[in-house]
Formats: sequence, structure tokens, C-alpha cells
Amino acid sequence: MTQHEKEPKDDDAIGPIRRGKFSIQNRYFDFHGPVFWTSSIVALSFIVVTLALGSKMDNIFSMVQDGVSTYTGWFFIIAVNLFLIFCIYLAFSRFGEIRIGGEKAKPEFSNFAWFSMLFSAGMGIGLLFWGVGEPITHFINNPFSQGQDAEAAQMAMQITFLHYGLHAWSIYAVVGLAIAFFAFNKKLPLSIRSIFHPLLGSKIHGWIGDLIDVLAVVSTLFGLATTLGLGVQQIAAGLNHLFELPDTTISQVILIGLITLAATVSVILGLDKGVRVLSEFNIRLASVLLLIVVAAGPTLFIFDSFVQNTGNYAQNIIQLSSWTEAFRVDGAWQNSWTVFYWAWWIAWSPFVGMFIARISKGRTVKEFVLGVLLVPTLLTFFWISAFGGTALFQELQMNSIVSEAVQENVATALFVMVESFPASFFINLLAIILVVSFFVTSSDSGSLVVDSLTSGGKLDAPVGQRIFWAQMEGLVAAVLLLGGGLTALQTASILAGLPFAIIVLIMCYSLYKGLQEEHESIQRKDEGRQREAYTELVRNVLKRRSDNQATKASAEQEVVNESTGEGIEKESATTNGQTAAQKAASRQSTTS
Amino acid sequence: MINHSNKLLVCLDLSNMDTLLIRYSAFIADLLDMDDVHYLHVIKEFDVPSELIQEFPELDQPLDEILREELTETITQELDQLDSPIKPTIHVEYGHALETILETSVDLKADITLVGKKTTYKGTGLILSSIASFMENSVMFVPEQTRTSIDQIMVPIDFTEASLTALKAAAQFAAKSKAQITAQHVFELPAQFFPLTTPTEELADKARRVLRAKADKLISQSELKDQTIEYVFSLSEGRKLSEVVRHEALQQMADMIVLGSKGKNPTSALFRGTVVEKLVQSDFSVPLFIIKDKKRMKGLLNFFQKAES
Repeated sequence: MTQHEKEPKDDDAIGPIRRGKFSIQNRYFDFHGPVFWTSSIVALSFIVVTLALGSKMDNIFSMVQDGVSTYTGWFFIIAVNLFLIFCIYLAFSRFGEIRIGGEKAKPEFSNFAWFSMLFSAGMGIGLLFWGVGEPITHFINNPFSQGQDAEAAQMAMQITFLHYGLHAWSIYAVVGLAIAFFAFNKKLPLSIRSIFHPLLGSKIHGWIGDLIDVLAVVSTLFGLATTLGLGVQQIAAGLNHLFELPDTTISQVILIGLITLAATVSVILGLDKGVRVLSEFNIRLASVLLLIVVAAGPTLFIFDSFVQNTGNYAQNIIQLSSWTEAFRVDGAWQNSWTVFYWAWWIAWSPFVGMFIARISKGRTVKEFVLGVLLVPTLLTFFWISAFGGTALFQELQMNSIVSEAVQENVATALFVMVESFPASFFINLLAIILVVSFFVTSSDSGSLVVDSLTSGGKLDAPVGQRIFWAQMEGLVAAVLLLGGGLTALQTASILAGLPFAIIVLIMCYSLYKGLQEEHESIQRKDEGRQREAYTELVRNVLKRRSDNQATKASAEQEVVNESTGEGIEKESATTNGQTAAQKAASRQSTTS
Repeated sequence: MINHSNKLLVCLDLSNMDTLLIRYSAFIADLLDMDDVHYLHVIKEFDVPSELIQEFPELDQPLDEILREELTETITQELDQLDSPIKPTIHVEYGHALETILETSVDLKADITLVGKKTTYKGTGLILSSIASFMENSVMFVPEQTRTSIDQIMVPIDFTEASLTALKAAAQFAAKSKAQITAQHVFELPAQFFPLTTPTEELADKARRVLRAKADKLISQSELKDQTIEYVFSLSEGRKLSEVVRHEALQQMADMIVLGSKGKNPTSALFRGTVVEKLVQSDFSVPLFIIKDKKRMKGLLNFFQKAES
């Protein structure tokens, strides 16, 4: 490789990315031209084309989704498995002890705060939208079991766990670790292109770097739009359920407008304050909702099934995660489920990765990987066991209102399930508020991330730019809904996820190389420290001897001055001045 | 017997540890009636920058001469204080630490090589376990907090020839110090199958009785039959061998562990290194004496020389 790879020069390694042409820096905008303009143009042209074509877009979306996921489904499946294997390797390899942010870095957040932020960052809306809807959908129909019985219920839970489990989090772990490592240990700008420094050297500042960041921005934008679209569908369904407000595409678009406005207010109000306060609020509200469901639902069944589902998942993880529908004649089930999820999480990963990276300084690689993989996974499993489990319990009791509702509109699943609880109106209201709040948080923090990417790795880019991106996210989500609803949202994720999946694969290799360099340099430092300690010891000896010599010399001088030919006095002085070395000689010592 | 050549080699590194090592060497030499003690310091050639020597232009001797004088002074001072009859020989050599220590030990045919072990120093673990594995002669690791007295000696045994050698060495240490020798054997219970299940404790007691008889037989056939030896038979309960030994040594407040080096061929002698590795790790503060069977270790060195050529 190049010279840069071995010894990154200072100007090359530190500081924000060099500005390209067409960059602007003023009170409202401060952006890196090539990345900002390219991603804006991609997003805008997508919006214009969708609006111009109208309902024709719907067909195009399903065609594209079908094509991409049919031909590249296997690639997503294998890539995600590789990410998980790579993560586990990192945790238990010699790199596990490397600390993010350097040897002396201390974690900024307590373990509890860290885990709750990880959890809320990764899934949020997805869990609310699919927590009930997904297990029920699989219960009604999945490729592994026939009929709607206990076996189908177990299978439904296993599939849902697969989609929200270790594989999903391993994507975030890889991207998050790579961003954190190159930003905090190598002091490169906080952006995706920095991860490729070991492979590209200073070329990361050139067009390849721009391309990588553009892909990351577009990926985040569409991944976010999917999430926001799902969120707004659920809000509309909830409002329709509670207040009989119309649930149409138009009303959904209006809702997006209103909530984007709220997100804009949050952006204007405070930079980190907005996101942080909202995140904490989300966690509290989500905990309350979870507690209500556990208490009011079939409590014992929830705990029982949590244990059993987790065991089933652990037992079947290899088979489930490598299943590609190869022997099914009309194999299209996986396209809209597993492949969609993997693509969605991958598209989401620059955003979540960036967020996880920022909160994980001071953790070791091992802590990071195990923390990101295990804790959120178990929490998510419990969440799904509570929400999906309650709905499945109702189904198994021959009460099929939830499955009927899901078949009609999956967004209503949660609200219909809560119907059977006391004070269901308030619980549903709580759920709607939570979705809105997740929406605002995602929009705000999403624009923070996109903003950081398009400004060349800055953390404190002007507010004007973040408002622009918040609007853009809302706009893309709205246009996707207009152009084809759920299918359009899924297509967006798959389209954005595909190129980014390739990037993440290369990222693994680059991260490996970076960690290898770091490990070597830590070892070198250790050796250096030992060498220094030894040099210091030798220096002390030399100094002591040099001082002794000086004292001895001056003592002898004095003796010479004082003795005026008196032989006896001189002799006794010499005896007193006998050095320890001479004493040693009298011990008959031999030296070699 | 430990004494063959009556020579003790002590490795010094100019740090604060040196004082302790000199005092401990005097203590060991007294216990074993040795008086030919060699002190070795290795100057790591590439670690001393030439600028350092230029800092002190008034010192016109070469570096090794200066360090030799310094060590001579320190050693004499300490030995004088202890009124020790030792005749010290001081070696200061340039070279690679591990290699030079191994070579000097072979050249001198040293009965024991004393090496210091710092509990605060993380980096030395590797070199210590290398010394343990490659040293042809017996070696003793002395941790920072070691006292110059021996009341309890612990000997992990496995009823082999090497165990007997270790017990004999312990007896030699105990002769003058009147220390108590405790032999420890770690055992596992055989797997049981239903319905032949006996409570674990009962089974362990039975095993202990059998082992005790085995130990008595081993001792009664050797020249150790008049020695009082206590026995501890520890059930491993799935722990690593090194864990069990460490635990027992701390429990007994042992002042020294004596380990017999075993193994019929070079490779198995290396594998034993994993137990030693745990015992020389920095957080364990009991001195460890590894007594080697010279005949067997010859094979190991030849093996490496062949591998190198």
C-alpha cells in the first residue's frame, strides 16, 4: 500500500476534512461541497421523480424491491453473518483489550446510561411498530409451519428474534466500533470515510472519500425515512383508532409535516440538549409502557415465553440466519422480511454507528462488542416477548382480533392488542406519544449525523444546516408514502442498504488493519517504557558515581591543602577515604 | 540434592529489588551452606543511549566498569550488614537479558538461579515464564514482598520422580530452617453414572485414603522416610491446577513453593509451563523454586539447538 498507511502525517490525520469546491461556510451553513451537493441532488431528484410519476412509482418500487432482494438476498444474508463472526472474533482476540480513545480514556457514561442509550438508538420506532405486528404476521403465515397453533407461535417468535437479535446489533457494533476507533484513537474526523484510512491513506480526502460519505448520507437519509414513514403510519393508525381521525396518505403527510416541525423546534432549541432530554424521556416512557404491558398482560406467560424463546433462538441461530429460501418454489417471503431487515439495519447503521461511537469512548473493544451485542439484544427480546407475546397469547386463546387487524393494517396491531387491557385509551395515548417522541428524536439526531457528515466531520455545524436536513428527512419520508406506502419505504431501505453493505464489508477489513496497527504501537510503547525505566536506572547510577567522584576529589584536595608534610595525618585521611569498592576488594572479590 | 557445584547465580537489574535479592541470596546460601555466589547484571545494549554516557564526561571508565563498581559497593554493603561469609563474584555483561542469563547459568553450572519478580511491573511476565521454561538449571523466583525466613514450604506433587526430587529439595531447605513441609496433591473424582452414585464427600474421603497410602509408600521407599511431611489432598472441582495450588499456598501462608520439573521428552516439559506461568504471574507473591532434573533438560536444549540450526 502507500506510504501514508504506515505513517500518517499530522496534517493528513488530524483536523476536519479538507474542503472541496463549492463549499460554503457562513452563519447558517458550513458544508463540504462535494458531499453536501451530491447527496442533496440525489435526495431532491428522487423526490422530484417520485412526485412527477405519481402512482406509477408504486409499480416501479415493487419491481425494484423484488429485483434487488431476489438477486442479492443471499449477499445480505452472508454479509450479516460475517459481521457477527467478525464481532465475536474482535471481542476475544488480542484486540479485545484495546481501549477506545487511548489507554487512559475513561468511560463518559455509567453502564446503565450507556445501555439505555444503545437500546433507544438502535430500534425505537421499529420495536413499537413491529413489536406486536411482526410476531402476529408470522403467526398467521410463515414458511416454516402450517396452521395457527402453538408451533406457529414459537416459530413466529424465533423469526422476530432473528430480525432484532445479535445479527442486527453486530451491524451496529462493526460500524460503531470502526467510527469510534478512527475518530478517538486515530484522531481522524468523525465521518465514515475516516474508517478507510488504513486502506486509502490520504485518498480519503479525495473523490473516493466523498463517494463513501455521500453513500453514508443517502443511506442514512433513506433509512431514516423508512423509520419515520413507519412511525407516522402508526401514529395515523393510532389516531384513527382512538379519535377516528382519517387515516389516509394525505393525513400521514400532514402528520409528517407537523412532527418535522416539532423536530425543527427541537433542533433550534438546543443542540445536544434536545436529543438528550428526548432520549431520556423516551426510555422512561418506554419503560412505563413495558411495565404496563407486563403487568396487565399475561405476566407469567411473558416471563415463561421470554426464557423459552431465547433458548429456541440460541438453539436455532445458525440454521435460521443462513436460511435463504433456496428450496422453496415460490420463494418471496424472505424478500420483504429478513432481507428487508438486514438492508434496513445496514442503511440505518451510519446513523446508529455514529451515535454509539459518540457515547462509547473509554470502553475496551471487548466491552464495546459484548455490550452492544448482548445487552440490547436481551432487552429487545424481553420487549418482543412482552408485546408480541401478549398478542400471541390472545391469539392462542382463540381471540383473533389482533390477527384480523394486522391483516387489514399492520400499523394498528399495538392499539388493537391494548384494547383488552383496562384503561386502554390512556395506554394507547401513551403509545402514540411515545412514537411521536421517538420520531422527533430520530429526526433530530438523524439530522445531527447527516449534518456532521456533510460538514466534513464537524460536531458543531451551524443550526441552519441541521434544519435543512430535518426538513429533507421529512420530505423524503412524505414522498415515499405518497409514492407507494410501506413497499416504497422498504424499497428505499433495500436500495440504500445494498451499496452500504459492501462498504461495511470493506470496513471490517479496514478496521482489522487499524486495530492491528494500534496493537503493534501499544506493544512498542510498552517496550519503550521499559527501556526508559532502565535508562533512568542507569542514569541514577552514573549520577551517583559522578557525585561521589566529585566529593572524593574535593576531599582529597582538602587533605592535600591541609597536610603540610605531616605524613601521619595524610595516612589516616587516606584510610578514612577508603571507598567501599576498595573494601569490596578486600573481601577477595573477583570480577569477570 | 540441590548442591552440586555449590554455586548460586543472582540476577540483578539496578532497581530497588536488588537489595532484597542480595539479602535473600545470603539467606538461601546460608540455608544450603553455599558460599560461591555470583551476581549478574545484563546491560541491554540497545537500551542505553550513548548521549546518556556523554552527560557525565567526568566518568572516564566504560559503562560496564562503572556499573560493576556500583554493584560491588551495593553488594558488599549489604553482605557486610548481614555478616555473611559469602564471597561474591560480580558479572556485568552486554547482551540480551534472557539469553545472557541462560548462558551464564549454564557456564557456571549454577545450582540455583535467583530471579526477582516485581508485582508492580507488568512487562516482565513473559521473560519470567521464558526463563522458567528454557532454564537448564533450577531457578527461583523471588517476589518483591518476600521475607527472609521460611516456616512453611509447600510442594505440589503427582507421585512422579520429579515430585520426589522436589520433596528432597524441600527437605534440604527445611533442615536448617526447621520449616514445615506440606505436600499437596490435586485430584479429580472419576465421573459417576446412575445408579452407582455416592455422595461426593464420601467419594473424596475414599480417594484421600487411597492417595495417602500411595504417598506413604512413595516416601517410605525413599531417603525421606524420617522427614515429617504433612499432606493436603485437594479436590480440583473443575478449577485449573494452578488455581488450586495458588489457593492452597495462600491459605497456608507458604513461604516457598517447590515444584519438581517433570516430563520425559522436551515437549511435555514445555507444557508444564502453563502451571508455572500462572505461578510466576505478577499478582502472586510466594517465592517459587523450580528444581530441574538436569538429565532431562539436556534433551530440551539440544532440541532447540537443532531447531535453530
